[in-house]
Amino acid sequence: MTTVSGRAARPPLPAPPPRTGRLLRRLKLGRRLLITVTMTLFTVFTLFPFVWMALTSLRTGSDLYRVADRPFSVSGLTLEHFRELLTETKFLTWTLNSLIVALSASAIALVIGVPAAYSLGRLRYRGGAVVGVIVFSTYLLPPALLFIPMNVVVNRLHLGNTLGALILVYLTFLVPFIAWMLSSYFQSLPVELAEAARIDGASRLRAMMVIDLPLVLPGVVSVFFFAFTLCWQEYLYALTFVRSTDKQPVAVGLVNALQVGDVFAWGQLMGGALLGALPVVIIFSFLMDYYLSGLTAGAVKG
Amino acid sequence: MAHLSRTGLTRRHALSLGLGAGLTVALAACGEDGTSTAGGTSLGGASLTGLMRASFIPAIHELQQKQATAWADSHDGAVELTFAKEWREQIAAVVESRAGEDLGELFANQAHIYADRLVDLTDLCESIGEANGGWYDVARAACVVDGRWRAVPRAYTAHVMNWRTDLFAQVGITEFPKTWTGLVEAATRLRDAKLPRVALTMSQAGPNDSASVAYSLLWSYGAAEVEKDGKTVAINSAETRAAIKVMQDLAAASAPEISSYDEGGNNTSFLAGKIAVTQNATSIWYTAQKQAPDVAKNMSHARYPEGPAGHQQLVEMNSLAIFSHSKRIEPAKNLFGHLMDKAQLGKLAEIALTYYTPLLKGYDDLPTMPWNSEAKLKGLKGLAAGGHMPGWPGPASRQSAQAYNNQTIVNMFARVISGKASAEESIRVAEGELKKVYGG
Repeated sequence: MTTVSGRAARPPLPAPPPRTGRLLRRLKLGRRLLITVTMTLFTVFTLFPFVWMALTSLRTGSDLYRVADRPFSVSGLTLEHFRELLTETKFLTWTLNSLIVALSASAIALVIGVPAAYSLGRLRYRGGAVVGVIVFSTYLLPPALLFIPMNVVVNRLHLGNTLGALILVYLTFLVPFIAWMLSSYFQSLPVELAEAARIDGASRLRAMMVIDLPLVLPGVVSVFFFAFTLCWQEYLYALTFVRSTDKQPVAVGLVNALQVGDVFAWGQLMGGALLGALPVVIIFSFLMDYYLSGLTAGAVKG
Repeated sequence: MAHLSRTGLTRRHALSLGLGAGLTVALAACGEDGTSTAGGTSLGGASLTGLMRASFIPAIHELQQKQATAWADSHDGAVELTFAKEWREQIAAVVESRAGEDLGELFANQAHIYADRLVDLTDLCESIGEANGGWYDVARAACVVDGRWRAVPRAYTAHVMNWRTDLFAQVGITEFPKTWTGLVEAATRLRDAKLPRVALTMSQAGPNDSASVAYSLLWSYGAAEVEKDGKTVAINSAETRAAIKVMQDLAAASAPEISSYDEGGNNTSFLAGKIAVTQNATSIWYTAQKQAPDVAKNMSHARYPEGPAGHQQLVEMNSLAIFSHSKRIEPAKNLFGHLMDKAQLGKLAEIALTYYTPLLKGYDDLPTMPWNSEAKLKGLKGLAAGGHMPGWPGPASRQSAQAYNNQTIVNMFARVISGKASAEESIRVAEGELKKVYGG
């Protein structure tokens, strides 16, 4: 006997003995409980900073100084800190600056980093392994060691106090990061696909663009997101290379304007941190979908 | 490669051409900009740029920018001042790379650290001093390096005792104690009455506040980290032991948080009404007037207590310097002269609530100054007379700056009050650290 789909019908499973059935149900219940508790703890742990930021940004001035006594109770909620943040500081300008720098630097870094990763992952040439280690070592150099010599270069190029300075400087750690991360993706691809394309007359560049690149697209999307996040949260270079208040990215602008000496504008700081995290959350949500679809597309290629 | 072959170019040629073109563009961009101004004080249409310390009073920034802009309008150019919390890091990048802004507001003894990269301002500083009753000694100590003024002593930020008059009244004290032992007595009474306690910061997390207390207490007991010669380490002394004993007694009656405060922690506790005394600038009072009016109404300010050696206090110095890479040195000097003129500096001091207190003796008796016009700031006149830079009685120097940055004196007190070391052990550790720094 066959089903409509043509597959042979499975014979019905014999009913488990009553004791085994109860044990299985208990095991399933226990597993669900464990997952639920774990996920609840994880969710609380992950979301707590955001909830705390939201709560602090909505507290009235006097409540802000009584947090230790009453951490979760408030005598009243106010949107005053958000109003001050959006109208009395340059928060929107700082956010726009961050977006320009993070998107530009990440995009340029991809253009340079993907061929570099392809070279490291797929091409065999003398000294290739050494080049790979050097690229990785570049990524490991601490910014505190580099910001003064880089400031010399930035000023020589007349990029001081411009967003261009940050885009240029961020490439110095984004390109090695992308090259190193993606090189392992390229290494994991079967070489036969590209070789078949070469036999059919495709140049190496064409084989990379048409055959290999679509297969590593999930990786490209992932590193783009990580590169964006690295730019968004970077502090030291942004602080030292862009000094004018209206040109600073959000991470530096917020701290410089709202934490002065020993006076902290907690309400606005937390409001700014909350709003400042939104672009990353939105882009991550968008890229997660794209990442998954890219992964599926990659799985059925070839 | 077919298209390259058709043009007769090999891949190597193409790469060489690309690299050559890139290098040409980069090198062309690397040249000097040649925008130095004509002689004299005119900016010739250019801009002067500066990195300044941000204050808790936004009006301080607005006033300084307004004063600078007024000067620029009559000197054919513009002045762009940037006020930032972390301006010290920005100045470090600019000075060390010899590129960027023309001038900056230096902190503490940075004039000694960057001396060889700062313009000589001796003539300007001497003339400002002569016109305003003379400089306090600490101004010279902070800004004169090898006999030359490397920065203009703009003003100091007064560190004072912020105290709750209503809580002190409850234990029978109506005036702030004049001596450190008197403060210990007051702290004990507050503790015994189960009232909010005294809380003077003594932690690594609050370096400026802690240093202010540690150095001031040390000096007022006649102790010092180094002798007058600036080389012989002098911390291992009976005077140091006496100062540590007072700090131990004070800590025993204080709020336990003093060992964990950061720069803002004591502000928050005071504004929340949880402590009765803390050292700070007047930023607590400024914030309290807006966000904790009950605290503002029941608080006042007092100068640091005296010890056997009188009133001695660490001064938080702010000075103006011109970086030697600037192409607009003469205009910048002229701008400094304008900003330090009584019409400008007086207005700044009036609104700054002692955050910017001039180091010129001629300002002490002006009726418009905050210490003469505001009841809660009375008694803060002339704090700079007992003011010193780190390293005193030795000269301010790179070494004293390093000892300050290492927090050697702060840690010496902190180890003892946190029970991590005895007074003797802690002094020995501090002595070892100081000998490494001073080399003696």
